[in-house]
Amino acid sequence: MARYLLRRTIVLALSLVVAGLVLFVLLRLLPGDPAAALLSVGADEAQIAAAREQVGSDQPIWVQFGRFLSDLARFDLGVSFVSNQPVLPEIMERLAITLPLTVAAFLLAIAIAVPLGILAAVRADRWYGVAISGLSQLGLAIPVFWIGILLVWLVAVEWRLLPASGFPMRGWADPVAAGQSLILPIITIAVVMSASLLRYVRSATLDVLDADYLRNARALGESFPRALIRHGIRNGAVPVISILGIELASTLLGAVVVERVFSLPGLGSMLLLGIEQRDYPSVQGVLLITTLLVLLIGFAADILQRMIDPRLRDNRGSAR
Amino acid sequence: MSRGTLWVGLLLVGLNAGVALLTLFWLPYDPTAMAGGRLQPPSWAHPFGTDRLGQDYLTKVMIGARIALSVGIGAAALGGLIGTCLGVLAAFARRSADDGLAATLDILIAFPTLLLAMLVVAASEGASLGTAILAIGLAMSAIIARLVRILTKRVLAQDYITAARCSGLGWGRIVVSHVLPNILPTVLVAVALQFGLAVIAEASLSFLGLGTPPPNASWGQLLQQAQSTVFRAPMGVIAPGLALISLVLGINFLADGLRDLLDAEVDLEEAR
Repeated sequence: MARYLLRRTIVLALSLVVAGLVLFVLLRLLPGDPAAALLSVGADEAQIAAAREQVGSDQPIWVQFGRFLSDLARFDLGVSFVSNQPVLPEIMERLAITLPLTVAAFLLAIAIAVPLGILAAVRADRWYGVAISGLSQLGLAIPVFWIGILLVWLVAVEWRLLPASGFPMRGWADPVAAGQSLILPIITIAVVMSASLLRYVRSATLDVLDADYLRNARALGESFPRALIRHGIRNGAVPVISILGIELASTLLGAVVVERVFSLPGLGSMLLLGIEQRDYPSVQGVLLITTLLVLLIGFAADILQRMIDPRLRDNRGSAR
Repeated sequence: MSRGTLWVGLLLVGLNAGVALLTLFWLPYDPTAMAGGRLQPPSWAHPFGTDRLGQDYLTKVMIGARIALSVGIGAAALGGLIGTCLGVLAAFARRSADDGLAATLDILIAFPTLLLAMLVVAASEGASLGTAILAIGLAMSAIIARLVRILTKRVLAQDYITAARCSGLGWGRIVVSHVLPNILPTVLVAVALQFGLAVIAEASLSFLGLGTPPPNASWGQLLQQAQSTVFRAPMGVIAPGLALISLVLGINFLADGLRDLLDAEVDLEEAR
């Protein structure tokens, strides 16, 4: 396990470097000089040169990359071209919305998908088993923002139960209002996410139901629910966890769209604004932090899988 | 049961394709002209009502079908082609090159479609049909490439490949006459599934304002505009949404039915 942990950590670090390189190159491929964001229309030569010097785009690209890496090593994500504020604190401030949103939606989705998925597999021959599978198939075809718009319309505008959009000015200093403004976004994400999750849980459970060890446990006198809980869940969880990692990552990024529906000032809206205004440091910062989070989630999912499944743990060498 | 899914899928996709083709020749109203009062409720003249500029929603939803299918087909063709080539190449490459490519694909896959699409749109002169296809197709190609690589390796390990090599067949011939025919059914099903995701991705992009510009507005853009008037004209949100769901559901049914028909043994969840 220790050896695997070491190897997996090295892979994580390498992926981070590669991802940083990819982002750097992609963003430099964009046409137009980033310095243009600093200038007003009709700027003269001297102003352009000054702006280029301030941004650093007058330097050759390898010098820019070297500077980028050394800044990164000092956790310096640069200063926004538009607001002239450091990028990292703003990202942290916005993560205070995006992160709770993602994690709460994820937990809610699991709470919906796991029991329903198991039920759909165990009772695959009953009408409600079929109905659950059908609903999850339908859920896969629904875009998340559509659910969001409908929920805003019904719950917030028609029934006036919750705020329609936005986030309180004082942020988490006003915990009730902040929490309330996140309820609808959380439900929106969870509904769509649980649809795809449910399918994985269902197929993992179906595999478990076919397994010999479950039949043996039954033959040894264990009741069906007990056998399923003692042997089934641990076995079924292994494939589901790697899917969970991917789903959590995509939820984090899918939050971009949901934040737009509910006008939440999270990481997604920062990214959209940055792209609109060609604010390279902001875009780069947001993408770097989200990539870091995505890679960390994958890392955690892999480790968790090994902890649950001893077969993976003992399998040294080429486990991939 | 599976034949049933295939037929329902064909029906839903055919319906959308029919409407998309129809828009090339005929539209109920001019999508850019005022066709009636503002934010009219549904009526015989305007089955889905009108938007805040008095433009007909039905016309716009019909055009949306064309946009969704164009982007879906374009992205699926691009992603399928690039993905298959890359995957076969990786499977044939030397160990180190193959490992490098596989790791790169894993990172690309972790990088979500939407972000990649945003970068492509930001990198080009502005959003258009082309940027949407390019962005979604590129993201798709990584997923297809990973699948093709695994499938090709599985084929290459078979005895009949060794036999073909012994009888003097070159690698090019082996790819054409042994590898491709064997992996094609599975790749086809995977591409079909990605097609459905591409339609949703396109809608999300347009919803964020990064899709096709008007008057060729896609469903995503319609939804974005209709969001602010949903309390007065709910059909503006409901109709494009249901149209989109019918297309994606149809494609997914088609893919499921196709898998059973072609007997593709791949785990579909793996191909997503």
